Amino acid sequence: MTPLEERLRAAIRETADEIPADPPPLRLNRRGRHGISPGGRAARRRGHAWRVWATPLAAAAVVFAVVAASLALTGGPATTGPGPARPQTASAIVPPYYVALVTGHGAPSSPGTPGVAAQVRATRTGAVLARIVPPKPYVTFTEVTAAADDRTFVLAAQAAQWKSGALTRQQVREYLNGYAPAGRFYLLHIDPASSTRGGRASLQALPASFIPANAEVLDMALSPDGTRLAANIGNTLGRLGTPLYVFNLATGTKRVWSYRDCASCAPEGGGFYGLTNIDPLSWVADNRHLAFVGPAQASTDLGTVRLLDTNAPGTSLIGDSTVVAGPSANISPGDGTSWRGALITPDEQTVVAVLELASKSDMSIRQRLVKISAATGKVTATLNSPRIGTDYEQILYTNTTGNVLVVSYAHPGNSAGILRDGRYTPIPWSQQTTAAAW
Amino acid sequence: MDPDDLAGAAALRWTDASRTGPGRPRAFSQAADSAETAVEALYTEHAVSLIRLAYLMLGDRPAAEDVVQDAFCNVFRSWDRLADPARALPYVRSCVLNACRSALRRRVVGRRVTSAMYAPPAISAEAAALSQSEREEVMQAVGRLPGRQREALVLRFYLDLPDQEIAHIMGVQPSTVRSATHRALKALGQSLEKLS
Repeated sequence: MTPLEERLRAAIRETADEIPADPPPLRLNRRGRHGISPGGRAARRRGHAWRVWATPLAAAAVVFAVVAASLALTGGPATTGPGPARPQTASAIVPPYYVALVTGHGAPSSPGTPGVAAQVRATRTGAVLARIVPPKPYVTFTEVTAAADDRTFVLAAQAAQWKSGALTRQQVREYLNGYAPAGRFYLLHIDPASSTRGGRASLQALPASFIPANAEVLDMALSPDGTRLAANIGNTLGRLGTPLYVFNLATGTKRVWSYRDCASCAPEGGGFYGLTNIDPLSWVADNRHLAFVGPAQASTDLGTVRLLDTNAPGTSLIGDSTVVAGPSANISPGDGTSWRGALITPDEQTVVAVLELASKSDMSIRQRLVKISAATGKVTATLNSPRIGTDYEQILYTNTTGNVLVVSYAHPGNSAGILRDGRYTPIPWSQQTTAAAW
Repeated sequence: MDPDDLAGAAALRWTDASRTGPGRPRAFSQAADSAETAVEALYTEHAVSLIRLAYLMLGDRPAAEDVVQDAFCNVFRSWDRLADPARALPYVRSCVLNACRSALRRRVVGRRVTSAMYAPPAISAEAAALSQSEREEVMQAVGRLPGRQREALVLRFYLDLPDQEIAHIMGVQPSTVRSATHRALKALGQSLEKLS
């Protein structure tokens, strides 16, 4: 622990200790279990009572919106179940199937939670075509990525971490030293036309050696042709300096790039700058060039989106890559400004990104979905600027040019939709979804 | 690890011991009195640490107590829907953080009128390891951080939670926690450096 961290810990704990260890009594009201809040103040009771009827209305509105969107996308009543994509459906805009990671049934919706299963879903209807659970000894899927054929995916599985609440001091110590449960990649092939659920998905383990011991997959991206897997794999606790791996799935070989020759990358000695909720890794259509979020330039904490030629020799993430987007005349860097997600479009012309803009003056945080020219590094369009709800907006998919995106959290709550030429159309979405890939 | 979390481990064992069916805790299907007992037990074990957590986020003791009271009411209402009551503590921590965010947003909205913002907790005369001015400096610098960065720091340095658990509570990816912590520490260091 650094002196700063020790100072911070002491200040936080001493301040917390100002609250005496005799909490006020808990005021529970059995009626509260049926939706009437037992809140201790009249004002709070009024607020909760409003939510009692507002929630069903909101739910009804969401259902209506989803049904309306489904009809709008299909041009007729939505159908469920697998089958070949029909013309004029959502599949004409985005791939007809996707793989989502989901929490367990009944688990509180919490984005970012590792999924207990993966689901193959139809984009248009949200129908679940197949459900895949992690093969033992793995218990969760932590990441998912897709090739461009809409049939090939890669899942990252992870063994049990610990039982929450039962952590021992020793376990915490191990974690602080870089502990991570065992993990493994799985190649997933889907066949939505299969008549049986079992036939719609097949899982194939990739070499166990791909993920080193005590390391976990932080981000990953499958190349459009499904032959190469890029992954940021590193130790836990934000140990910086995590390298970028590119695995050849056909030969089982790998290449590694790192920041170790980048002395000025970060005060801690360099690191992977995947400062996003979703993968900061994305491939160009040539299956060769990979975009990633790289370190900040001088006097700003906004990193840069860089492009790496994975066929060229070299092992340096900085020395062997070029900047395609970063601080420019119309991106104002500053404290708290960061990439929440940045994907290069397959045509290599555009970077679509969610920027986090934090204001020190009023402590507000805003987000903005922008398109940036890969040629000039300038923002060419602001697609939206939603308020931050339960989480930041995430870009789950971009088409070749970036004019069709699938985004989540563009609106409050765990929702997703298609953003096409500035028009947002919600798609059927499960509240248990924690990640998804098209 | 915070001693309160060791107490949480005891609560977890208690919950596990109550399992009756195949993976189905007894409390899951019992009536309101069981839920009330379970929630009260959870409150007894963790109220102090949760109020302190809310206090660090809000800087206001009555508001912190209200937030925690509401969070436990939410847990009580949702008890039957909790797939795993052993996860009740992370869930209630999430509720507390969400309520703190809402409270802070309301303050931001009301700022035009009242200029009420996040107020770093007042420093008492009982400061032990750090001088009062030093604590004030640190806590004021923490108070100037964006909300999520502040949450990440408090969850790590007050509750000593690992990234995975912090991510679950904040509803974000572990990588986001790491980046938020990294940024927060960097900003904090710069902020304190300017003062010194």
